[in-house]
Amino acid sequence: MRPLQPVSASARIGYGLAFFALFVALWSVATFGGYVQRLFLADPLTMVGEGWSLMTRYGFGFDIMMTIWRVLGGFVLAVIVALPIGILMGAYKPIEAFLEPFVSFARYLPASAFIPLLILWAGIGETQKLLVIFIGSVFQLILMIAVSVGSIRRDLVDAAYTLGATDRSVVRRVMLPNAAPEIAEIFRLVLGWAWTYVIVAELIGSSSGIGHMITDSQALLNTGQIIFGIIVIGLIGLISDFLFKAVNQRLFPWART
Amino acid sequence: MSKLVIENVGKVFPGQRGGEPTRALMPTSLNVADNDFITILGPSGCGKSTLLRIIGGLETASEGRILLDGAPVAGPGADRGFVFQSYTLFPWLTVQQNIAFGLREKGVSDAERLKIARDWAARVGLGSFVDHFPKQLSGGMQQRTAIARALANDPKILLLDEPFGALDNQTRALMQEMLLGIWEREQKTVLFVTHDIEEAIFVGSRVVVMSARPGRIKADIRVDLPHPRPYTIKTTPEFVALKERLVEEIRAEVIAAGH
Repeated sequence: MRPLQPVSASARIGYGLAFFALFVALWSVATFGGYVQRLFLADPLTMVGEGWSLMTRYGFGFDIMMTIWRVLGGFVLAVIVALPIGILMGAYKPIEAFLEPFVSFARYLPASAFIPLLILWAGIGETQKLLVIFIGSVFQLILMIAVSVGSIRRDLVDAAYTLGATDRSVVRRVMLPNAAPEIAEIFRLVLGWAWTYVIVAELIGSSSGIGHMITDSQALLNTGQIIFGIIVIGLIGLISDFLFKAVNQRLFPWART
Repeated sequence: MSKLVIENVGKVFPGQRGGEPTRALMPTSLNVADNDFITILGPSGCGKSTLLRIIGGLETASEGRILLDGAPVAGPGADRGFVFQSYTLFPWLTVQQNIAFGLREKGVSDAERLKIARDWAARVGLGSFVDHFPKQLSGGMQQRTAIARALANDPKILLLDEPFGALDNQTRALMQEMLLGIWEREQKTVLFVTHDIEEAIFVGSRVVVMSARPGRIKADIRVDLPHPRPYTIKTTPEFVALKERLVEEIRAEVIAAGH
């Protein structure tokens, strides 16, 4: 091994899988070896069995779909609001000066702390779940989009002006496409964070979703189901990450790697 | 009548954090005739780029005014094409789309835009690279595209700010020939800023020498070499004599600037 020496694509996949294998192996040793009480941590086989019965007998597929729907719903709402505001903030400094301090403050407000308030306002229905995701993502999105739009190279903007571009088209035809790959990357990141909020939202006052299943299982001391639920979340995250990366690479072939 | 009139244009940058204001450019006057190719030669930091950026409308003059075809210049516009030293192609556009950028701003139709862009790509020798993205091009090819992009707009004057400064010597020599060839064919008014003496003589019809900071025009020398100019002209006695003269002028300025 030497610093920064690249690995081949196949070796990269091999190494990545190897750690998963190592992780499961350690887990197996801890549980099958009797080092950890079964009450606190289920072994891998039990987990798989519990997962199977969740999917086939308890309709866990529906819970998964509910959770995915909530994440996407809240996230899309946040994007719809954050995109125009972020772009305007990035392009026009007075708007940035006006909104930036408040948004910076608001993004440190923990979305989970809003849950009691949101239950008062919106009840325990879907609106409340969506709002948790929305509050958790929208301020992060606004700030990150504003930074990426505003961080354009000055000489690219100068070049556009000398080619006869108006202020409007500098924003639309230069600043926006320039920031587009980074904005897509921001979506990928913040969507990941939205997943943590949705589970918290579902832990309290919910009758469906992965988070709801996890609280139910806790009451039954079924650690196998809890772990299965957590792994499902991880897998969905992994898949959405992969999809995002693939789509970004197709959409922005001109961007660096 | 002069194409471009620069009247007592000077630039003072305000002091940073209560410091003294810095004068980058003494009030400077220069008349540029139609189809002239003027090179502005000077040591680094002499304000030559500042002058060019003021003409391009990218910077405001602290005093004086600039007239293009009799009309005062205020802010950047498509009538003054600008080529930067840094690579400023839009990375998300192909060569062809980059060249057509200004035409799209003007509202030229799709078909017409495509035709002009392909034509200019061919004229700078990039006919087979129209669908390449900037990151797939060498530095020289990127600057050729940048020149084509500026010229596709059919500007009244072309402003070049050390466009070949970042290129290696061999590429730079080829680029100079290409630019000169375009000028000989198209008859454009060109202002070309450089610190390379040989480059200034080879491409220019007139070399304006600027002093060390704060910049002012120190000498204005006609280059009476015939056109078309092959690269072999660089070794002729006339060229060498002119070069020696300019070397002396610039040397004095570099020494005056304290290197």
